Amino acid sequence: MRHNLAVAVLFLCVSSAIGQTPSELEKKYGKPVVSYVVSERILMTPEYTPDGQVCMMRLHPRHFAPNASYISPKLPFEELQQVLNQLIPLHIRGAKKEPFNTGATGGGAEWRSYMYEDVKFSFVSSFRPDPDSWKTRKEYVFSIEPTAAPPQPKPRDSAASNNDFAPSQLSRVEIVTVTWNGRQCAKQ
Amino acid sequence: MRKAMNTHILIATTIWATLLGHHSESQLWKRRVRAIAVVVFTLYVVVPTVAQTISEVERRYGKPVPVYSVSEHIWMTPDYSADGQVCRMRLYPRRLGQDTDYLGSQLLFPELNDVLIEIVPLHLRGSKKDGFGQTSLGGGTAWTTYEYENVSFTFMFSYKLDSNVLENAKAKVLTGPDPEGLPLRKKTPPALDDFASNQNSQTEIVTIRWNHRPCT
Repeated sequence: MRHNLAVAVLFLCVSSAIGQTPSELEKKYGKPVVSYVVSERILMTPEYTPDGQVCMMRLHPRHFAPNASYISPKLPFEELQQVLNQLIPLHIRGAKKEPFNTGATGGGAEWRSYMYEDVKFSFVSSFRPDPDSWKTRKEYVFSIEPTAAPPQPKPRDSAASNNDFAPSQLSRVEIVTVTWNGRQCAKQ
Repeated sequence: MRKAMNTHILIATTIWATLLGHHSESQLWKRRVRAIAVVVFTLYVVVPTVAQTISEVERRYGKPVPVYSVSEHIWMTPDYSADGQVCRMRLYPRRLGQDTDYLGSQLLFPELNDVLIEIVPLHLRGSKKDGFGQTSLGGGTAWTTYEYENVSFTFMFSYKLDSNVLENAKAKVLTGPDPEGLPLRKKTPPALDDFASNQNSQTEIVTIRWNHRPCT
């Protein structure tokens, strides 16, 4: 009896230690997040529709190569642009939709969206406002009368082009989400 | 996708029409076979396929990197030894949730410490080794290594030197015994606060290595 108890205690102690094989890790932490290495510094996590078509891709920083660690959470812009052109070439995006380039900020983060007919890109960046910026503030005079009709958006070339994401070039982009407009992702 | 398909059909039709033309029956068959081969080659190899399904994504980018969520804000990627045992784990900030994007580059210390204790409990680490908690600096990055008999932890963080550091530098006289004359450290067991020296540094990556398990 005492022997059985000792074995049970030992078993409990051993099994409480962390999993050491892939199946033990999965049992403990659940299914891993699937991430593909799409370039030296960028990983891509896809989601699919119930019929297996990709409906969303999320690009995020790669922190490790076999013999290197990358600390920066920023996606290098040129590399990012190459990856996006490879994953979603210009000819499958459809025409740009208005408003094409829109942004929102809040809580130290900025979201910028680029809408096409078939696909939408969202760039998420972080930023830190200068804590002393309020000291240099000045009065701002709005040049447009509040009652005036809003200006019509200028017509522009609606074809997708290589410099469509240029407004995000100087931002500290950390995550990019690509969603296909006509595809509903499967619930997980 | 619909547009890409239309492009494929258009290319296929053009090639078909160009290769067939008016010819005798035997020539026609030869050309039909050649046309089919060209169309198949064009559709699958020449026209750059955009990965749109799971198998296409894997064919293009290879096997995925496994990423486990080990806590609310921490991801972990393991490596394995030849016999399938974990030999290295790398912990870094979580980026994606089901409906959330996480920004920022730092691992929160209390959460990190709990995860490390869970992954490698104290009784599995062995005694601390000499040089425990030493930090190396270089290129805006610092590494603090905590080495035990069975396992080593490396904390990485970035730092920025104050641009006035040289101007403010003062001569420092080191006191105390010469390190070479210090007595050998006794074997000390692991403790819960072993990583406390990193509590205030902004750790971005932690690597855990099992000392006796070479990775493949």
